[in-house]
Amino acid sequence: MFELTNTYKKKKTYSDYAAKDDGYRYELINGELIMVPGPSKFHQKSGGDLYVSLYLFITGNNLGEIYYAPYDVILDENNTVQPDILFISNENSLNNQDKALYGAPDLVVEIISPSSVIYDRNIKKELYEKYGVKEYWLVDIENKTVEIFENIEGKFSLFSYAVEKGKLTSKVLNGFEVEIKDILPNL
Amino acid sequence: MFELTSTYKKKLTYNDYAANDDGKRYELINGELIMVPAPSTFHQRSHRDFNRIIDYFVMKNSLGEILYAPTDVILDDDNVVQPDLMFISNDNICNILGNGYNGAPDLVLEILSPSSIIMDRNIKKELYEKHGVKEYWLVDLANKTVEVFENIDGKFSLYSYAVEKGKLISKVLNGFEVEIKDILPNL
Repeated sequence: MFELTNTYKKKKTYSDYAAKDDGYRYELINGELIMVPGPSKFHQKSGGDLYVSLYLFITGNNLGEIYYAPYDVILDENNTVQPDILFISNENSLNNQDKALYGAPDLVVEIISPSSVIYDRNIKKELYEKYGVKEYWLVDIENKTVEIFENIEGKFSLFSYAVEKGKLTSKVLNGFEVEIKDILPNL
Repeated sequence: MFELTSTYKKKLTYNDYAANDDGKRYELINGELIMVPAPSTFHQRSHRDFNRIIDYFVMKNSLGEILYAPTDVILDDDNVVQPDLMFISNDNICNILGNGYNGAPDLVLEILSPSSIIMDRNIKKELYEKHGVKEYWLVDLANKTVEVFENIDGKFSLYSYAVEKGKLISKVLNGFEVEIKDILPNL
């Protein structure tokens, strides 16, 4: 259970994160190591389907790189996350080192599950906002909803969404569209 | 389907909202009439259980009043909403008029369903934030999660939450606690 205010506890850093070798997956969020539970089959199917759609568009148009978890994104000394899917534009490629991206991806997708909803919708969302992720996709499998936010001066603003049916569009990936039923496994 | 930017369309007001008599339930949000679909039985059970617990606490401690949907909350001339449940402190009872509550309730609860999630998590959340609702409870039935936000300088900040198990606390209702399994019908 993580503490929302961490004034008295010493904050952990990337070195602590990298030294973890107990076999579990972690993220480093506001100086705390948070264990990431294994994903559900719905999470994997949804993530996989969306990744394929994005991959085809991104590589087809030579826009940059697209990765799926687990790939380290080092936002700062106390924050290293592993987004479900991340897009790094060509302009951003210099920040992409051997083992991590230093700084914010251009686009991030998080697939929500009960164990991750608090982080994806609140804490990580605020981190992505603050560090300049341009576009944030939230795929809420249980609620059959996808929300897409654009970053306007450090604040995410909803600009595309669908509930059970409808089309989703991207601004960062100009021209990219996908039907929600193609990325939600239980529809 | 509501439009996120409504620059060219004439904004509707409270009078338009009140004059609507087609028998369907609506909310007026940023000058647009948005239809409210009928709730599911999961929604109703969660609502009933939470209402029972919070109403008793408020009554026993003489803190104010609990009102619930479909009571109109007239936030301003372009915005009339019907939160699932709200708490009005003794100091604010004078704002309860015949036609509804005028202004921002002290505490608002929204129970999420796929059809309401976009509104409850984004647009209505921002309205409540801006108009000074002190505490905002979001019950995400499908993800078995409850999030509680406090209003800090016009921005909601997460301070209490539970996923499948655990206790939720209120700041506005000092001493109020509830176990998540007592308000999630499917746990």
